[in-house]
Amino acid sequence: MMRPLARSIGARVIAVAMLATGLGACSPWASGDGVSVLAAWTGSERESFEKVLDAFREETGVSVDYQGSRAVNEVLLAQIRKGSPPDLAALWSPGDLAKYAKSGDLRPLGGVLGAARQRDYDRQWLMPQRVDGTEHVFAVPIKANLKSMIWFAPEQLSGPPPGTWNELVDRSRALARGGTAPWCMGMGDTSASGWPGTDWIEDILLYQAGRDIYDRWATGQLAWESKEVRRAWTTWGEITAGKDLVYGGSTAALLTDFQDAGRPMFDRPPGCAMEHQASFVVDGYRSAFQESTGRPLTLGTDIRFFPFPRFGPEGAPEGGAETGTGREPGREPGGEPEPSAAPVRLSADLLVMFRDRPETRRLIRFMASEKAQRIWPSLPGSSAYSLNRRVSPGSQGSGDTGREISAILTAPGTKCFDASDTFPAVMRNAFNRAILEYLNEPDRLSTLLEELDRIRSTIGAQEWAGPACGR
Amino acid sequence: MSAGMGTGGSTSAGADTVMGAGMGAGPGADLDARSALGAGPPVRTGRRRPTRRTLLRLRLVLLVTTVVTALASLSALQIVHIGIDGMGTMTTPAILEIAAAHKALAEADRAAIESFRSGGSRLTGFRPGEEYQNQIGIANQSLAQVAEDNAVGEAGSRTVQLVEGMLVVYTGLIGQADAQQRRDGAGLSVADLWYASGIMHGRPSGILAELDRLRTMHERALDRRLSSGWTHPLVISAAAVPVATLLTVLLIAQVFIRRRFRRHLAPPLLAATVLLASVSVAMVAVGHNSHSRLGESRAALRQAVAARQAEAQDASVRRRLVLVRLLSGTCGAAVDACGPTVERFGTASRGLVARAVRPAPVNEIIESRRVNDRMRAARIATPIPFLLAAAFLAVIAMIQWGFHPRIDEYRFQRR
Repeated sequence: MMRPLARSIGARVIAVAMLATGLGACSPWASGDGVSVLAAWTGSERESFEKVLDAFREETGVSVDYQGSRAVNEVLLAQIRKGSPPDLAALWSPGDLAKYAKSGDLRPLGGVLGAARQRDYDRQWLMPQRVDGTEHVFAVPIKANLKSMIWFAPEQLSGPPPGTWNELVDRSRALARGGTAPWCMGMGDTSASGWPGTDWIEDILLYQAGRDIYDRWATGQLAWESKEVRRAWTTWGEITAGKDLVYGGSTAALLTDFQDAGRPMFDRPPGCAMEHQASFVVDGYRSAFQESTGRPLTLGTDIRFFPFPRFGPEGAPEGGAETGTGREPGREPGGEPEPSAAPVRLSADLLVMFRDRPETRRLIRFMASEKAQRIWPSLPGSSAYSLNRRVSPGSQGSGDTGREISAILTAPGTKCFDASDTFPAVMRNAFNRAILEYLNEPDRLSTLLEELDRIRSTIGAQEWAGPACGR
Repeated sequence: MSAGMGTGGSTSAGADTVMGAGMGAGPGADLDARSALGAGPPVRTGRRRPTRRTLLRLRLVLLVTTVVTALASLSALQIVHIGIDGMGTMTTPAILEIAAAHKALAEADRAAIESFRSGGSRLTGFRPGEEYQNQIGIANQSLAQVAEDNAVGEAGSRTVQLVEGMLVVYTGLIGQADAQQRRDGAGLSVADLWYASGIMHGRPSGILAELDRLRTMHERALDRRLSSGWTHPLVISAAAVPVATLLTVLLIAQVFIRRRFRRHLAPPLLAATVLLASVSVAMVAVGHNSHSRLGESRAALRQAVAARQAEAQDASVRRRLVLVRLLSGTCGAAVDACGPTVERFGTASRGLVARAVRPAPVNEIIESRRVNDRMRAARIATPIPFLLAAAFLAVIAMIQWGFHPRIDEYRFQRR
């Protein structure tokens, strides 16, 4: 009889059906969470970072969910308060990093990275923090940005670039008399509006007063009302309050997003000639140039940079020691033999770990590897620069100018973090705000400095991050 | 070698259909059960003993198949129920709430900017005003609800947190604009207003843009469920295959009994077959009804969202026009003198005209009620699983009842 066979076939069919039902039951609830990463990169920077993540996804099969927001600080704070921080986050503020490390929210990375990977970086960039008596490292620098640089359109600024501040101011006034506003300026950036102005003050202070003064101020030991700091503000005022020196005036500077500020350089006729901005601004220049002229930007030809000018004798620091006060750039033609290059100011995107899981360890180890560090800078036209020693300037995808920037970042010599990045958040926010107020009404400077000092006095000594400048 | 009607022999190797095997049965053609399972070459045995054993086996097969079918059908029903439930209690409400939050925030921004333009003295500041406060309150409530109803996992909850974080920044800046104006009139307060409005309306990563993204995630999840969730072939076949198997085996059993005993088809088994067939038809009808109602609910949802979006869009246009006037006043001349960001904003706002008559405000209660009614109608009524279980129990009882007399007949033949 066939019934037993029927039964066996039937049994198999039923088994398959049950299995199918079971699978069907399971799939709606299957959730692979993967690793979550939070950072400030949006738009084209986001796309570039996703390429780095793609390399990781291909290599390991682990899924990564990236969330980007320019309000990353607030978002991170909200998530931490709710007890659900992201697995990894890229912080640009050493001050915030120090805070989270001390509060125990961050996981130390020494064991995760291993000694070999750590040796690929200057220890400064791994953000060593002293927690409970022991020093741990907490960060992997994803990319660095050079500050202390001034971009310009070569066709508007002929001749050798200004080497001193006074030369710079003179050239600016000359341009203004010729009918072009010399300076492009934009302060807007969601909740951090004003930070481009803080970059000005910091560069002026660093080059005018020297590295030691800068470092003391960055760690809250120097008053805002001190003569060095006050002088830095009034020096900036030569530009911002100068007649017709800023495109659209200071009101336009307030209302312009930092990403848009350089656009008028590529207008026909050009609206402004120079912009003081970090290396990452090139991404915006590329799209603005393309929109305005219809062809791609060539770095080095259509846009160039010169280093922040030094200050001449009248602006030089008092009692200069040899240890890096008001150094002159080594490139000055026909100058005296220089001991070493000027200190360089930079910012970095620091990847930190909030949740220690096998997948997050894999991702952060990957991000520290030479392979991963090479990806972003090697993208064509990239304005990302790696601090990994193994990633040579040669692998920068932006031509000679890019390689020049990369060389500056990795050359031996003093490197200083952007001071406001190292400030505790309350000081940084107040600094940003003071910039906006100063632009709006320069006569209020004394009141502003007083207020800044008042806030400084409310911050405990242990809340300041470590020194901003390396050895 | 296939078995034909009335022929005497059939081998297990040749029989590759269940029906074929059944048809090939005839007197003297019984095969040993073991050989049928492929344990050895086919062996012909007599007709004495196997019949009772065969009957018992057949009954066992039927009972087992019925139980398995019952479990499969009930599981499938449960899956469908959970799916619809999820759609009704999470995905659909989330979409409505997100659209509500979006609208409230667009209105809040418009209200803040309008009151800045119209009101404001040094003493009173520009007073973001009651409408602003109300709308922010509504938005916060909706966002809290969205956080609860979030149906897209961690990506969704992170987006809600992102939006909440940015909203804190936004309300802070509006407050600052207020304080600034009290202090020294316009100037920096316009900048604060401008920054705030940028956080709200910025693309691709402003607050409203993030809410749109979140809503799209939910809508995709909902559409995925509707098109391939419960009507997924896997789920349907999971339920249908056992039923088909059971029906088939029942039919085989009845044919066997008729041939073997030359009696009429056992009435209980016939009844069971009929019951099973009607249950299948009923299930299909229930499924069809659910599907249609879900479709209607989805259409109503689309309308509700579109209405809210239209209102938000209107608020956005009004806000743009006021902001352009405000900015021109601040920069002294035209909006072009305000730097490239404002210039681009001004260009994009050219030609926009606010509607003379604002669209009738969405009656949110009526809209959501309509969506929810359809969703409720789509649910599988509570009695249905019980009726289904009862039907299967009845089938089991009928199988027992149908076989019992036949098995009984053979009882005393065993030795």
